[in-house]
Amino acid sequence: MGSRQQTEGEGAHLPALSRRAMLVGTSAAAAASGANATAPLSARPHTFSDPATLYKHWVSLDREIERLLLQWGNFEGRLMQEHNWYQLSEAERAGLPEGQDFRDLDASLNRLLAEREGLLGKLPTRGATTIETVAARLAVVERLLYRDDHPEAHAMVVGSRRDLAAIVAGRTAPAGP
Amino acid sequence: MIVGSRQGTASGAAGPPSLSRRVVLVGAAAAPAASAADPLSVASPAAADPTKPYKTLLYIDAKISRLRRRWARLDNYLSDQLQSLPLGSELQTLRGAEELRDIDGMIELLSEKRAALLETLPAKGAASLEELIARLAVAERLISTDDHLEAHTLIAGARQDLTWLLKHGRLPGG
Repeated sequence: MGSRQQTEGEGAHLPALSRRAMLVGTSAAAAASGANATAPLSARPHTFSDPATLYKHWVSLDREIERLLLQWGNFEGRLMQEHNWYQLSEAERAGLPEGQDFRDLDASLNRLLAEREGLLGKLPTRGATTIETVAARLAVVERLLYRDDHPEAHAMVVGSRRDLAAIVAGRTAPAGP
Repeated sequence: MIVGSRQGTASGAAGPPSLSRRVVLVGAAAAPAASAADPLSVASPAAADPTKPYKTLLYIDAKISRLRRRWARLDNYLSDQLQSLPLGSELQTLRGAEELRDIDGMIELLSEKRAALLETLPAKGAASLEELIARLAVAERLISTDDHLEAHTLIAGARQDLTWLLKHGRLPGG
């Protein structure tokens, strides 16, 4: 482990980002969306009879990664400050109880990143038969797009997802002006 | 490249491109390919149509794309012609050089118009599913497949699915 900079499990379409770069991006995304951290996903069953569940699961993974990345950044900062982490030998790191926690966190992140990446390729891009499913798909897009990179498109996707949710809830008419 | 650094897909045509300058200046509405009514035209009963601003942006965007392709072809053609000119010849003597500058101006003008319109497009509060579909069509256009293939594909699919659901009456309470 140590000073690993590249994320694992990221596909060729994504640039190789360091944990730190991901942390900065994630902080901005979290601030933008106001998303709350979710509970760990490890115990969740993976049954997706409802297509919308796939999208929701991807969003859950993404939120969990966001939460763990922030935790990872805090952890790394503490280890550097208190133990000069990156100057320690492997043996010295192994001797620190916190070192094992850090390694566990790193492994969790790698597993979730790989799962998120794998699931993204499996998400249906067509064939939704309900408005709810389309709204769930747009929730994925909302998190895929960085607001700073695509401000107008991001706002339109967020607005559209909310409008669809309002239609589903019966707050607005679904058809015809 | 003759005029500037505008990027486009040059087709490498051997002869002068086929559109007349008048057609270029009048715009895509005069071109045979543009069969739909010009959304930029004024005052129609559809003025109250909430989808119109989105459709107008798509129209402008498509027009810019066409002009860019035309610009690239013409630029390519002029570059070839320039090689055969005697030393000291004026660029203006080349057929098409003026048109290239005109297209450049048109693209700038339309790009400004597009940017101004984009700022005014509502991002939420659609009054109908049709408006929402039009909005997603704009979002789809704003994200290039090179930038974000997955997001682009998911948005395109969402737009197509909503269109299908609307057409088949598969709506809540429908």
